[in-house]
Amino acid sequence: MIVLNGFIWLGCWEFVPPPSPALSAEEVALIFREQAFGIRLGTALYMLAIALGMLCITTTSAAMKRMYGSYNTLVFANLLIGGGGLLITNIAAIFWGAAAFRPDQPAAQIQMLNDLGWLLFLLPAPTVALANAALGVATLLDDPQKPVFPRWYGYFCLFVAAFSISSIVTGMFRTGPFSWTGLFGFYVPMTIAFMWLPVTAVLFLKLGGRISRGELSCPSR
Amino acid sequence: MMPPGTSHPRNRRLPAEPGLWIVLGGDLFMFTLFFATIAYYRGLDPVAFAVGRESLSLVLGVVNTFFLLTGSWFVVRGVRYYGCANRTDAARYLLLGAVTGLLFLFNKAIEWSELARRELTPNSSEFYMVYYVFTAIHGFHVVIGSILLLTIYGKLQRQGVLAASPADESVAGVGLFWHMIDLLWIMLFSLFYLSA
Repeated sequence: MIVLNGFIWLGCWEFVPPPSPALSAEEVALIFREQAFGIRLGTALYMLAIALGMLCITTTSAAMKRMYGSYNTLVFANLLIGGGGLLITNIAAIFWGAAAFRPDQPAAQIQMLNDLGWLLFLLPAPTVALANAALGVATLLDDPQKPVFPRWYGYFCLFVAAFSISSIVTGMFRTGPFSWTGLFGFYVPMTIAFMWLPVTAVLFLKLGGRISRGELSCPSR
Repeated sequence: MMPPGTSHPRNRRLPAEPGLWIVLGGDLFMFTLFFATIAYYRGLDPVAFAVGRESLSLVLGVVNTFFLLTGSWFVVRGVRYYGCANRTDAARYLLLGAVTGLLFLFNKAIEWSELARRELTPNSSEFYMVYYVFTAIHGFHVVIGSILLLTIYGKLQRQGVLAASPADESVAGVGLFWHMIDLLWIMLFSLFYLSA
């Protein structure tokens, strides 16, 4: 996931740093015209990345089902809100793909598609954050004697949830730290999200080991 | 009903459970970035910041600081009473803490609507950009903190003493979270209302 996303963002789209929302339509159009193929390829690969990402969400929801009490609301919140939030970013990528699909279209149109892409990608941050918060709360409510995940992970998820939200203000600023090229609009939420991935992956590998050794009872499959 | 503090027989170590410090430490780190951002933009445009500070009501800011400081005091009392299993007083003080949080938010809403009425929005200048966004993020923390306090209050009312550890430690944890909110507000208050 991390490698694939890194390749898409840095290799195909070349969206790090993101094209500034303060650029003129002509400048935005130039980016999409010059990188048309890379952007189309990146969009295609992103579909794959999000399919895998949604699989990750189903895996976390399934792990939550093993937790003590397994509060259905939290499990469903993680599954539906997390999956739904990721799916929206799929649409964002399709807008970028559409902008690069006909690079000879008017510059204003490319700019609009680019704007829609960025806003769709960053504004729904609270959905994915809420899914993470549900995972964090469920982890903290789990049986302390035989937890599915360590308790610190619950707090970690809550921290990730709280500070991946800051990109909801990207729709209000075209410059500065809260715009989609800014520190709090883009870099902080993305860094935090990509910190969450490896930590979670390691815990899942450990969880898999414990399940196969039969250390964890299995309330449901 | 002694005012405790020494009632915990456990060894003195990190207050609350260690995992909570991921949230507290992470939060403090993020707010440090926020303060650096404020300082950076103030350095770029000191005039806009001076004008911005003038437009804020110092009285409302002081009232909000008073609310949060009083709230912290209530929460300290609540957590201590909880520590010596005095359910009634713990519940009462934690509820009072939550009420100060809600008063803070109400006051903030008055302040914001007053600024919005004068058409001072996040886009008016860089001062308002950082002012609105960072006080909003702080306000979000107050909302979470108040909900946590009310949740504990509700549990105490229903079941008496919470189940033993780690629920026991979570009360101390919520208390720490509340003090952090207070600390962060004092920083924001001095950066926006006093020293712009």
